[in-house]
Amino acid sequence: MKKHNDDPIRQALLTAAEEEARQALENQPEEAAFSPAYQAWEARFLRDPVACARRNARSPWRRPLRLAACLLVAVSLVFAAPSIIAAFSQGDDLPQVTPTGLVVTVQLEGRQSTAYTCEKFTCVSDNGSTLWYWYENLGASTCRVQLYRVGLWKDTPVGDPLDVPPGESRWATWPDPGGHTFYLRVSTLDGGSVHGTLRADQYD
Amino acid sequence: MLPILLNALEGEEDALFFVQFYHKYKTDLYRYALSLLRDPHLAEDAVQTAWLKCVQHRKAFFAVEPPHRKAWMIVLLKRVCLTSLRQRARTVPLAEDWDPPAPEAGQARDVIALIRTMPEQYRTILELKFVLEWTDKAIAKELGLPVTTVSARIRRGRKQLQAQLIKEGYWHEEA
Repeated sequence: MKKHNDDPIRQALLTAAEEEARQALENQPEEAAFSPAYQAWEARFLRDPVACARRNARSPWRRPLRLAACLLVAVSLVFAAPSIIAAFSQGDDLPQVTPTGLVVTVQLEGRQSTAYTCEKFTCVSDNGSTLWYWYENLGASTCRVQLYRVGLWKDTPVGDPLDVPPGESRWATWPDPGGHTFYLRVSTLDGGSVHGTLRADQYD
Repeated sequence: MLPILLNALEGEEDALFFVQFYHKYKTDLYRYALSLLRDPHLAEDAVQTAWLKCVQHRKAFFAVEPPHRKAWMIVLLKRVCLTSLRQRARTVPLAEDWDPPAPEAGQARDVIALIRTMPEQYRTILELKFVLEWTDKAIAKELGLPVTTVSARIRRGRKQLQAQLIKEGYWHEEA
């Protein structure tokens, strides 16, 4: 134990404190009933005192701040325009690009339908100059993927349709999608069920 | 049956000591907090806080000589209770409620009586400095005082106690 010049002062202060406490206890009832809440805390504390102390030492603002940050991210994801990454051109393999905007991904599983239409999404110019969409066919039927642009009066198919055989994936792009709203439709060519992963991104 | 604290404290021996220490003094400490705060809920809160602080500063706790560890906890608990009273805007210092005994014959009592008659602001600062080993800056922040004020009171209180201890033959200058 560290010894220093102030040890006598320290010991005198400790002795004085203990004496005071002893005198204070003489005037207190002997019985001390701990509440159920205290007893529950005691059980937790004695199980792992260090963990309890660590939790107690955390800043009281940390948890609310973390919760607020999570809520902010969640709200941004829900309400922000689904910006997507642009693609390059049609192909089989996934392009190795880094998305600049939010990714729209739909898992089509367990559906007993011959077609699927995704929700409309609006592209933002700032998120990229190219819209890229990709489908991985996990079903038994060849699927056709068609991109539609939402118009004032009617929706227009744009770009060439993608025919994706079972067990394979294909992708395609559409340039300058900014400011337009699109959706994708996946349908089987032989009446079978749609089963796969549909994805659309926007990038530069 | 005492719970075994694995990887909780410095070693199993320390862990067992801590649990035994806790069970031995938890009631007395609670009763002491109750005497200061006069409210069972506040007393339980204070005791919980004190035990948690004890674990947070377990190195300091285990550095104290075993016979003085209870007193160390008492000082810690009193600090927690005073903070609780201050937060509830009950600004009456504890010293005013106490009636310290007159100095008794016998050397050991004089310095203790001196401490007990010392103004609370000095005593609190000295306890935080010399018993709980807080820095001047931490003490100043806790009490809402300038650091220079805290340092000055430490010097003054230390001088006062040192003089008394020298008079009683308890002060030994290190070579």
